[in-house]
Amino acid sequence: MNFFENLRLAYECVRSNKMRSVLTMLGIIIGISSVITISTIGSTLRSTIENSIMDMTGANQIAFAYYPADWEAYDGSDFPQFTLEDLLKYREVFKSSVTTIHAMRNIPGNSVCVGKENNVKVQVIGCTEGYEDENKLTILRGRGVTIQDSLDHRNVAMVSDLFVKYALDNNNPIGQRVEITLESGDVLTVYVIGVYEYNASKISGFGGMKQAEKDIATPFVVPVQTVFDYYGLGSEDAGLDMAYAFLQPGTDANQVMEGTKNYFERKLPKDSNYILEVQSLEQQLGMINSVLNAVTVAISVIAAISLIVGGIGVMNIMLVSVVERTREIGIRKALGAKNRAIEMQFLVEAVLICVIGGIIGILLGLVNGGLVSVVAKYALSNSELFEGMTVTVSPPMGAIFISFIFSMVVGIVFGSYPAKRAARMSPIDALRYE
Amino acid sequence: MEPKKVIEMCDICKNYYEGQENELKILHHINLTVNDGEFVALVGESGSGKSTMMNIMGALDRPSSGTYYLDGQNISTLKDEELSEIRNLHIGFVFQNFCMIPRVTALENVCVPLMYAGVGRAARKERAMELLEMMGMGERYSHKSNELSGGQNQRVAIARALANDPAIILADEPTGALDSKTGRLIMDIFHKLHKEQKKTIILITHSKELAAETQRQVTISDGRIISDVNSENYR
Repeated sequence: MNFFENLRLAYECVRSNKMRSVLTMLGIIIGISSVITISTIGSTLRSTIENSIMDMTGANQIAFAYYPADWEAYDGSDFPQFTLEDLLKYREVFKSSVTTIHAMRNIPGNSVCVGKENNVKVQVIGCTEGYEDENKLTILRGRGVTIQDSLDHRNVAMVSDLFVKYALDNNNPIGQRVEITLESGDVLTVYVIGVYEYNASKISGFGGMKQAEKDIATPFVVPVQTVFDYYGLGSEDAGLDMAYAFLQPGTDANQVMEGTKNYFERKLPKDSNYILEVQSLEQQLGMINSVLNAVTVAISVIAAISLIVGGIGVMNIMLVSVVERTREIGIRKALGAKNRAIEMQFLVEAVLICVIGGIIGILLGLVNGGLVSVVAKYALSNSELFEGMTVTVSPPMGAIFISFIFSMVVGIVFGSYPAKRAARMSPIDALRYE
Repeated sequence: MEPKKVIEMCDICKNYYEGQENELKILHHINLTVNDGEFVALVGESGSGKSTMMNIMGALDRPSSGTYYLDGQNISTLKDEELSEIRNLHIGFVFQNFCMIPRVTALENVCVPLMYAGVGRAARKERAMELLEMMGMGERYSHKSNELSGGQNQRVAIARALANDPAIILADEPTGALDSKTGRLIMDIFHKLHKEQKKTIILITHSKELAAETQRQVTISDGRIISDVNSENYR
């Protein structure tokens, strides 16, 4: 009496009681499919976020800023900042691994420029260097803003092709003088040094609002020193809270992070309450992932509770089935079935019901999860905020495997008691049972 | 040469609710020996203890005291699992109500004892088919129990009882649920098995006429053997 004999017997039994078997499976189907649905949504969300972040910026960069080492001892004073000189020296020291230092200081609100027909809106962004790298922009003409521009107090700007189209003479914008009226009413006069191709989805924080092209307030990138000058900040006060260092391809991010931390913490006074927080994008992604994972697991566990309810349903039906088939059990015992053989027969039947239910549940869950993701994709494509995000549906292999094993375990756990009862029946009583 | 003893019951007692106030003594010191190739009728009124005796004989139950040798092996103290094996290999049951497993075909019913004996799928199908053909049921091998008449079911049951070529066939009122004509047919099969295949058959019945057909009649009353006679004119 091997396992496959039992499997065949169980299959015959499940097949001859189709309706009842399906109803019994329902609990398992619902439980497993909700677990799979949730984890499909979870993993889709994860890969979507991952992809869009990776899409926006390269992975190989680190971010750093000063933070109080001990928030309880924090006295409310301003955090230490990085001056342009600091960052430039840092880049010089780490030149073998750091290519670009990107830090920004903006002038808030919409600023306008008197255009050919209408006023053209822009957002003034002060930047050290690498704005085009950070946002993966293509420079059509000229060049981007550099630290040297800041050091030399040059009044220059890199503008978008849309700005050129609506505000300037398209033929040769480079070197053209532009007057920008800020929200405060002050006027900023700069010369165009570069033109980039505007692409809403690539610029972080500039999710393309659905509006006419000419109304879009595109980034107007000036040297960060221009912003400092506008605010009247001296070399003492002119600082940046947070900076990003772009690393050479193939650089060990961890090593640079440690070096960066040591380098900037050495600049602090001995009794300083501040430390340098350094994070890599990978780490940040890891954090998002771990939060998403925790939420997915938590909801899955709740869904898995319904599996226990399903398991109790299976046990109930198996108990009924044992009573119903008392005579059959008696006959089998009279014909020489050992207790173990009877136990296995009923156990395999319970496990089979659960496993079939589990497989149906997994398929249903995948369809559900896929549907939800497709709906999400459709919704996102109509949303202004998330334009450019691509939804990647990814079936959660781990969850599928665990669900399959779990449904098997449910079958074993809830099938063993009825199976034991069947096995323990006395052959005489079972034979006489009407 | 001494004939081989297939069944040897020595001082068998069976009590229910032992040690309790309502203790029931069903069998009182039964001694019975059946030789190989005998056709014995176990006769008794209902309540006489013949069913209990059949249960012990068929290794479905254990005696409260005494020893029971089946095919030379003392089986009165065996464990459940070992008794299952004895039933499987040494005993063929034929019941009054056929005891077919529902939902499965005649062929598969005959295969069941072979399956528990560990016979491979192909071999047991072949053996089961052979037995069904012997019982004249070859053409109906694919029918289920509810698609067969009483007589046909009983023939399948006999085929099933013969599956592992057991030492004895225990037939408990095999004609009880059949009309007299079909009953006759079944009895003829038993006679044929006895004569042609030299099977040891124990027929449990309350009918004096059926018992009279057999070689030896053992009568039970109130849990005791009250007579044990051989038919002189048994053909």
